[in-house]
Amino acid sequence: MDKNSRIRFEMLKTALAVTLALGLVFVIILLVSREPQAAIRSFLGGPLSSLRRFGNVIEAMTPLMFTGLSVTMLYRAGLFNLSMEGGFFIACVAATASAVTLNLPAGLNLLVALAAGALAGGVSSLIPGALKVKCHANELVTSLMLNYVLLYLGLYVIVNILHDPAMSSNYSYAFPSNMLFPRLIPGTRINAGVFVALGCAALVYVLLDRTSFGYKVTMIGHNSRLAEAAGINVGRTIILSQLIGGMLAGLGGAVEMFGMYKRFQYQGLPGYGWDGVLIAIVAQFKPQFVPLSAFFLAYLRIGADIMARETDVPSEIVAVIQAVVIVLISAEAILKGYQRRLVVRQARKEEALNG
Amino acid sequence: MGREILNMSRITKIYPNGVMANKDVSLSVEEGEIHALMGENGAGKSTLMKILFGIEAYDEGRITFDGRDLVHAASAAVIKSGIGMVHQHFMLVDSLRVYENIILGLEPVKGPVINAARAIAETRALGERYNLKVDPLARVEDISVGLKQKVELLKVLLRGARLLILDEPTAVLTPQETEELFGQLLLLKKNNHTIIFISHKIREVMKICDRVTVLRAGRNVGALKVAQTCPEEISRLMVGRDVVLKLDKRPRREGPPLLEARGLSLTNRFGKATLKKVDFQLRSGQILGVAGVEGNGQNELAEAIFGLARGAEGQVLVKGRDILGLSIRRIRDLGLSYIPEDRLTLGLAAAGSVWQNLIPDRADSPALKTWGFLSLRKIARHAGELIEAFNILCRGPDQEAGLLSGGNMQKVVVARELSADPDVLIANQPTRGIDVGANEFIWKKIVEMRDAGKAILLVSADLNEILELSDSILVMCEGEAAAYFEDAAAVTEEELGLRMLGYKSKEAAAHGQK
Ligand SMILES: Nc1ncnc2c1ncn2[C@@H]1O[C@H](COP(=O)(O)OP(=O)(O)OP(=O)(O)O)[C@@H](O)[C@H]1O
Ligand SMILES: [Mg+2]
Repeated sequence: MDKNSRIRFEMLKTALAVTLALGLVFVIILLVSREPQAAIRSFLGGPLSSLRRFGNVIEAMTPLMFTGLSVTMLYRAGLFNLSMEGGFFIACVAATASAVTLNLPAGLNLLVALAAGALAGGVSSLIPGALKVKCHANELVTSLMLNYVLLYLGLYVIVNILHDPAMSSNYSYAFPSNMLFPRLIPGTRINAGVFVALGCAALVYVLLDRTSFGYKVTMIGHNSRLAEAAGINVGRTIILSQLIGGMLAGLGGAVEMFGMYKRFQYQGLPGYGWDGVLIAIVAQFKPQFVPLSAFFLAYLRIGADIMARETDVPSEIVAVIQAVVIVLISAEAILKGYQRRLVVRQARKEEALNG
Repeated sequence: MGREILNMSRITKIYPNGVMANKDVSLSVEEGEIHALMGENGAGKSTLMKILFGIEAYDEGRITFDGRDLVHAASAAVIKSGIGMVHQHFMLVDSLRVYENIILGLEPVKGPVINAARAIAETRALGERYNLKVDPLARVEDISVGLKQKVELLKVLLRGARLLILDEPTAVLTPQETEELFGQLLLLKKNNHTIIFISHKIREVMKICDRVTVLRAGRNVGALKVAQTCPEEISRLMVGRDVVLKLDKRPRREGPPLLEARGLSLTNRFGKATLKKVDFQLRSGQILGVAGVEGNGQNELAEAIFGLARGAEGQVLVKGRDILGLSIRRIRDLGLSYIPEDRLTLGLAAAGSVWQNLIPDRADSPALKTWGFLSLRKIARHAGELIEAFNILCRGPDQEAGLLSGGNMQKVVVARELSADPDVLIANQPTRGIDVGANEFIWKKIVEMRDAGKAILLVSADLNEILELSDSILVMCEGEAAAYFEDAAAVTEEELGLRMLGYKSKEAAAHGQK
């Protein structure tokens, strides 16, 4: 198959997977609900039924894009780990600390806080990466362990240093109001953060697919021994890729803070890192597909939320639906037979032409 | 002999990426014969054998073995019916022991546990019977390629194979090991086993095969009795022209030394000294062949020079400068390049595309960039040129490298390393698994480099290659530079063979003294 028909085929496959998944979702809804029609309507149409709800989708999509990009970057070098989960969280803490302790002029304070978040996230991924390179420690194990350290370190800082005594829960002091991202569309919380995320997607695409650094990262992921024999500095490239991957998650955390919240109020790991893995898989680890993939997951979530609120379908079903869709999309075998017939027909045609 | 045991008729195979690897191919094999399957790189030999063995599906045709239909049979059923295969790229579990590999899937059990004692005994007995001696307890990662081959053969024999498929078994063997293998194959033949033998070396085919089937671009072009043909006819069938693997070399014009090893020593991770104070000098305009029985330090020598082996001691001087301990980037920048022994570990990223595999050493080169960004257009042009120049059979630069035929993978590696335009080329088995036409081409390229004043260190298990190409020859034995011949033309194959085995001279060999 040539490139065009392969892309067309991939799109067809994804569409079919989504259709199948939705079919299965409907079956599940039919089984658990006494008002299936209403449930399906609010699931599919809910997010489009008002500006505010559609806004919710866009809002939910922003952090997902960041962690999806982060995972794309981290995994390109072949280091399968979950450092972006802890990185996202600790970046929120770092950004908060910067925002409420440094008294910087408007504009500069936001920039510094975003940088602090990115840096914190970067370091969180850098550590497992460096341990891998220097001590051959398994990056999945070290990143999971590190996530606990980051979680409790973060909570410690919030509770003991940044906690606003006026609040009953473990909330931090409020961010200076001149730091918050401007809301772009009245009636929603859509803010400039989504554009920052889209910009990052473009940057990551260029970095991975159009620079020699990205090419080296890709080759290391394919076969690090070849990369080494070819003269690529494998250790340094891996560490740099992990730093950048972590920074994306970190920036995502900081953007989420100033885009959606008025103060730090997480009580545990928010789970965006895990979501990032899903997003990256659905996007087939290509940065250019991450926004679409994030939109899709966000839409599913908001739709399911609305369905849970408006009908008798419990919101836990969302998790089931998510799983079904992901499995189907990542399933290689769908349409295998059809693809074969397509290929065989084309090969015969070429054969006939060439004699 | 005489009874047809295998019949593959009008087999057509189209791979998922649209490559038509076999088109109406037929193959008929008689019981008790050694049947050669020949053809250029990518002609479809491995594919046809994988189809027979049941690990690739086919689109058309039928297969009968021993009177029974094997239509679209799964591999397990094929094995059961008495067919065994040794693949072009070995399929062994490196971390397991020899006997564990051999019994994998057929473990004799004692209750829920594997009866190890019995498995070891069985492995030994089988080895005795077919003269394939290997230590059942050795770990596969520690044994030589020649031994791995024996393990593969034992694996197949233990499963009761009467028809053995050997996909380029000699590509990785030294002449001595090849001789040994031939002895074993003839023994098998005497026991009424049937063998399908794939090789690019016409000499070998002439020597032990009864008949030969030739493929070209996925089609049959002939089936001949070996006794009634000649090497020229076979090569004409394969390539469509005469290929004579003989070189017309200009007399050498040597310049200053470019690469020099002084007291180069290396100890491997098991504490064994694999290189012992090796000295040699390689001059501009010289091809220095490194010969030796597999596992005597030739590979280590190549890797130590190129900075791939950690902990080497002594000195390696390039243009008068010690490169030991420098990064590979620096070494390459000093004008060295390297064709590794094993294409699948150090030479290629199977999951990457052909173009990705052609540029890893030059990704920072401004020639591939526009405004500091990689230019896919420039890269595609560069890759296209190399594909054309080295005649790499693929569907274009975007094809996955892991889907190429073995010889075409090798061409990718060679194309990359030669096009780096090095001053010193370290070529470690450069023509392994490559067809005669491509072999001739690569030899010519190497000689061209020499005539242009470059220096080449040629490590090869193929004595013929060493003798044809080299200006001078270094013989390695047990990690030492056992002999050096300044003028390769004055050395006979016999003398070289003795030196490789560690004898000091013909007379000493006659008396068994080393
Ligand atoms: N898994 C695969 N998917 C797609 N194409 C393949 C695959 N395996 C082989 N091919 C293609 O099929 C053709 C025949 O390959 P095959 O491996 O049978 O060649 P071969 O005769 O064994 O060559 P060699 O002497 O180099 O080993 C080649 O063009 C190769 O690129
Ligand atoms: Mg092959």
